[in-house]
Amino acid sequence: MNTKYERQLKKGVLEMLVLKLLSKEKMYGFQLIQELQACNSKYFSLKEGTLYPILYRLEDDGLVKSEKIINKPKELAKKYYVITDQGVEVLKELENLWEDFSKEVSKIMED
Amino acid sequence: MNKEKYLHKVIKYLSCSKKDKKRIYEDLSADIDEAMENGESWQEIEIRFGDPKDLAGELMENMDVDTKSKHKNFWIGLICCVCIVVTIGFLVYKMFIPTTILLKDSTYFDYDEVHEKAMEVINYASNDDYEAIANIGIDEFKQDSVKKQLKDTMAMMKHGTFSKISSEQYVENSTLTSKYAAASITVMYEDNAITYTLAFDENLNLSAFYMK
Repeated sequence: MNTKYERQLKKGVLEMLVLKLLSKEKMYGFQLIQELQACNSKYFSLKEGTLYPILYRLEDDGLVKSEKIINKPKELAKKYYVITDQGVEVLKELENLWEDFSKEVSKIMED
Repeated sequence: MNKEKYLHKVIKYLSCSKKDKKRIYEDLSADIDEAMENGESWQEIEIRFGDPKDLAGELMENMDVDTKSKHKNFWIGLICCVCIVVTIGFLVYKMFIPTTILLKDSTYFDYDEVHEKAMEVINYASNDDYEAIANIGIDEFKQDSVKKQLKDTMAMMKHGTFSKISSEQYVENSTLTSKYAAASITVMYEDNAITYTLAFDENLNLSAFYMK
């Protein structure tokens, strides 16, 4: 597989996947990486070098926000990423878009 | 390499805003701590993260930092700097290094006026009239010390009676801030020849007087 094309195809989807995971619960970076690893995905196991730039873009666009939370006494504060209301709205739009998009792509590819 | 050194190396290789560098440092640091809490050793994490330069490159690539645009801006900036330096150099050159043209080609000085003024000076010099020379000169010529210098120099040059002008050349020297007309006139006298070098400012006041 040509890694350049694979990377381009993945690029547009990763934001949506991260938003989806965060819509279930707030997570810190390492947790997000583990969650995706747990999905046993061949294409979407994220590394730090990919995940954090995605989170920063989503944060800059106001779709997620970061919060420092102390879970246990004497524990260092952890930086959690939380989806915002705007992020929830955008995720809905992306899910609809993805549905239409994948249907159309499949249709064209089947012809 | 320990965790701190590793992270500093990653940050060193990043070319992004301070804000992004700060949050990358914080997130990677927290990520490492979390992985270690989950039983991974630092050595294992270091192998998983890979070379700091590669991790920084991956971060930069995914942060959509437009390196082409950055390079373009760099070249535009460099060209602008070169243009500014060349312009400043040209202005400094024009300001301090005079350009010389024949006085007949000057659009500022009238050749006949300068010639007439020069002949007046030669006439005074031939009669050793240093007072008259001082009077048509700029203010510095009117100082007693300069008058004395003129008088002494003229007394040294015992030349006898005026015979003829053997050669004369006139030019205009100009810088960005000033212009002056210069004349080099060789006069034959009864006993010897003297070459006078004269300069006149924009108002045709004598501003330099040399005898040789």
